[in-house]
Amino acid sequence: MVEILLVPLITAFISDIFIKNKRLVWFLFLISNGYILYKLYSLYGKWDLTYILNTDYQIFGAKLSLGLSNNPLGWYFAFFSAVVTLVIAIFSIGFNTNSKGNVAPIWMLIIFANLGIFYAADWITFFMMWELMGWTSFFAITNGNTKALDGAKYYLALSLLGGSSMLIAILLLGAYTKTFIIITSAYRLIQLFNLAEGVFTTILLLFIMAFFIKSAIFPFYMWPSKVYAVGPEDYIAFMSSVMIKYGIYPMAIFIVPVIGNLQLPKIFNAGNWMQYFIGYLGALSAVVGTLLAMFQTDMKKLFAYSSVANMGYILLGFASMSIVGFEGSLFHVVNHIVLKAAIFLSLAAVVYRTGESEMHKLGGLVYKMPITFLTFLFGIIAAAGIPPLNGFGSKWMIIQALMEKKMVVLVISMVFASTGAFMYLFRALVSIFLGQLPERYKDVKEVPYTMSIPMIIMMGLMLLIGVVPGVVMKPLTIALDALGYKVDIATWTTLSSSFKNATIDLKIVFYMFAMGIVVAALMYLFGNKSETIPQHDNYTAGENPIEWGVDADKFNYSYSFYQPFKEMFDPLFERISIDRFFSSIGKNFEYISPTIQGLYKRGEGAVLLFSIGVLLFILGGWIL
Amino acid sequence: MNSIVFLVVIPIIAAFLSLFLGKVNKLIAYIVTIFNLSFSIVVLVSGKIPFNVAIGGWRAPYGINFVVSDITIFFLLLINVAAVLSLTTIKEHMEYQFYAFYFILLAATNGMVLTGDIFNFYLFTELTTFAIGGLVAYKRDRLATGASLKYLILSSTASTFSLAAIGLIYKTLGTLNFADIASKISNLNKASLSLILILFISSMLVELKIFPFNIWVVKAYDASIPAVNLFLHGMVSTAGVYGAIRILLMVFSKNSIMLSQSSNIANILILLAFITVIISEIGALTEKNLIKVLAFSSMAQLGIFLFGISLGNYEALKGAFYIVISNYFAKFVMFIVAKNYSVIAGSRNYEDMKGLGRKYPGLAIAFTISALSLMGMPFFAGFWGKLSIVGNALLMDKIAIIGVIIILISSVIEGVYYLRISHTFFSDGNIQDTKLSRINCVLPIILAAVILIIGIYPNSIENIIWTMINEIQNTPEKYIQVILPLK
Repeated sequence: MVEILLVPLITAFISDIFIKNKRLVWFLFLISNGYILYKLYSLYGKWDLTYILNTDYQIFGAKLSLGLSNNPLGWYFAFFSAVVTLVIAIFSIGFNTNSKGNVAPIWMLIIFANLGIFYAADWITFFMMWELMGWTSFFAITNGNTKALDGAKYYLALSLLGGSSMLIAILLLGAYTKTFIIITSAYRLIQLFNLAEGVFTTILLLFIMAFFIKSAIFPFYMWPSKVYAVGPEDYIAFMSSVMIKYGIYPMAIFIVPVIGNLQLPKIFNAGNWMQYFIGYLGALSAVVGTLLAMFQTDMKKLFAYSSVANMGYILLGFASMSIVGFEGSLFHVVNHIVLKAAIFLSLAAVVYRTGESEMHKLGGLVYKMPITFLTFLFGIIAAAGIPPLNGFGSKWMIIQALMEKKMVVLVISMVFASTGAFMYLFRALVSIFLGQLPERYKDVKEVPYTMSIPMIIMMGLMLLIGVVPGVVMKPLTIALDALGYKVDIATWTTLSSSFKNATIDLKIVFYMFAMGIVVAALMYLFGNKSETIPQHDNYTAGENPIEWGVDADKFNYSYSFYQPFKEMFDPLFERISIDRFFSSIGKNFEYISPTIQGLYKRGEGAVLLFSIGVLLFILGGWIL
Repeated sequence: MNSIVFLVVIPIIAAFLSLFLGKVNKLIAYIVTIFNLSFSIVVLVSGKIPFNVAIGGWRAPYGINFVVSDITIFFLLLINVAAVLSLTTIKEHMEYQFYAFYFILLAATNGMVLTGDIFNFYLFTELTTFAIGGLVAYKRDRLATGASLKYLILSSTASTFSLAAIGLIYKTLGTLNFADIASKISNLNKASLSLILILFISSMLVELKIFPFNIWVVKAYDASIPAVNLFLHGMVSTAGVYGAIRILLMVFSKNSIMLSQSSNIANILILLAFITVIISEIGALTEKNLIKVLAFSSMAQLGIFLFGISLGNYEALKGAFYIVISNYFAKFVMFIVAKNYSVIAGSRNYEDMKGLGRKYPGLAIAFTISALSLMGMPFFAGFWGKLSIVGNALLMDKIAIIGVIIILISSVIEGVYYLRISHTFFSDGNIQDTKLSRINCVLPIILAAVILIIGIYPNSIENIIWTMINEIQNTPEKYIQVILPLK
């Protein structure tokens, strides 16, 4: 049980020593990830395994003990993230042959923290791993790249803020429930809630804040776009797929069961205020994430906002507080891990070959990089939630659960976001892969096998989960069953739902789509042939853009693709910018800083300040 | 164990001799410092702790006495280890003034920790002030002289206050002995106690670098040579911390409770503590001079320490000890790294140190570990301190909760500026072809490893800290009766 944590730690240490030898380090990285996956596979079903480390450290009058346990839900998260991590690890070997920095050792530490978070039995262990993940990811993002500092700093500040709020929550929870064990503290919190309602509500809100920061839920939705745009692409694939789920996991094991069992007054007979709080924040992230994704010109930023929207869907499923919604959310976690990893791997492949991530500067890569194109296509079909691939089933379950609970506003926002997803996904596809190939990319080749094979595996995974959702749903339902939820063990290809006669068989859906593809192929083969024209032919009206002082790229149709749509929503985003609010806090601190430095630089006020201090004492000692 | 006076006497003799010895001074300095360190270790392992030495045979309440208890020996070791480690960073030739002042500083800081008499304590504090004033000014430029003067002015203002406090104590209680004061303090009326505390604490906060009294800190660090930075951090601050623990928690606390929550002094100390923390962290946020950043951050750490001891809770006090230990090691690492890197980069601006972390990764990693420890990240020593202090402060009254929130916010700021510096070390940069001997990297790595060990395995230090807290908890049996056995 412990070796699963020791292996990444030791690997991190060894690869730190041999950091100059890239081949060895990335090979070790792959081996280690393979071992973790194998070990996780062997841990399946052994839910009683625990490991306790007793310390002499005393807090709240009791000795602290740190523990790990094979929690079924933790296993579920850890296993599927390990699968995707292994695929990314294969990709990294090829991707990093020419890269400048070497992110492997710090990435291995993050994997250590990753497993620690999913396997922690008590809050202190959880917090230790959580904070470790926070600062290591700062170094992984910057990776010695000066340009990455601003985004990474933003992420770090938010992450430390979340850590602080979680520390307060954990310590209050520990002091009031007399335990740090996650499961026990949840039970006691439910029992004791009415005794100290204010404190426990504060605890829950502080926890929720920490988790929302890490999962980029509404008020904290900006960091992915800042971070994903600058980090090393292969690591970002891991971050956008696996790391953004760290906030979801504790929501699933702690917040959702607790809020579901609290005896709070209900609003409209549908749910209590906390449920609505989570739901509306989820809905806001889904809508805001979708809108912002449409307006991006950088492809990595676009998919960063798409992640925000997807985290919103997961929260919507949680907010329904029904078992179908819960299953749907957890299913969507895995779906999102797989599809986001696939999309980011294909983006990494594009960046690897072209060095460009602005979409209007790309185009037509479908002819040059067919496998990358196919992966991306599969990824966006899955992300849009179109049936033969994964992503459909989970959204379907979440919407059903919300409908059943009559949370109509949330359903509307989810449908809006899913529809909007078509807009930005299609736009990305068109801008990057379709259209015409710019002159400068005439010599671009498909990526080497080490990178194309992982992408093919990802395609296979998406199709597999899409057609046979049982590969995910079976372990999930078994894990939930082991945790004591009343669930039916899922079958291989059908998805049950909360309504009568709404069970669907994805096998049949797949056959229908396969027929559709055959028909489309026939139409392509026997239809009219296409005609090729030069790229800047049709929209500059004979003028040379250079003479007008503008770049030809700016006239590309994929620059400001949704301009009219953007103008429609601009007033909203002009006026309300959470991003600007958070940055201004940081800026204000930076403005005060020189003032304080000046205080220490000049000495005129030294004795004056001294006297003020003494005066304060005298006032405090006698008058107060 | 009458020979304990050697710890003070030998450095003073050496200070006198150093005026005549010229080039041998360096050797003498090593010999004397290592003697002090090994003598402290001998005392530690001799098993005679606690014991009391009456100087000149004058028994306790009447004469001056040196006391060695668990807390004393712990701080004695910290100070002497700091002295040895700081000496190792001196590579170039130093003139006799430097060594003379250094020996005085060594004697004075050892004396501050050993003495059991409040007036004697005051004298040693004055001696420290005087020595540091000389050491800061050793660079002999405009900045150094200014910084030194500033420090001297503030310290002498402070010492006036403490002299007044001592006079008041003598007037009201008729004694100057720590143990005697501690046993009689409950007879004192509230107003006199408040006045004495106000006067004494305000003088002590100068050494503790707490906000309205710490205007000297940044300039003094910036103006002095690296070894003096380490003296200031490792010896003077540590002695100041000892003074705070001994005098606030053991001498001036009624009925062996710590500064109780009900008293306003404790509340004001909490207030000043978290103001110090937030002000120094914000000050460090945009500072480019690495030494100044470290100076700001050391004020913040002492602010957290003061917050911990003012809460009046033994677990929070334990956290404060962890903070002291973590800060002690971490700042050592950071000052040494700053020194080495600034020598290579030719400037103290950390932005000029780009890429040095790639060439000398050991130093940069040690710096990062220390920074993470100061931020209170888990797996590093500072985490256990933060956990204890925050956890216990949350269960206190409103002012403590506000303090916790402010301290956590400032730890976010601290994280941002420290990790930005670490990132700068590891980023691409043009490195000049300067050679840094690998030996310079060994010491920071060892100290960083200590931080890591304490962080991963808190048992290593937990029991030592509890022994010291035990002494504070049972002041009458463990301290007063050692000195005044008749009672």
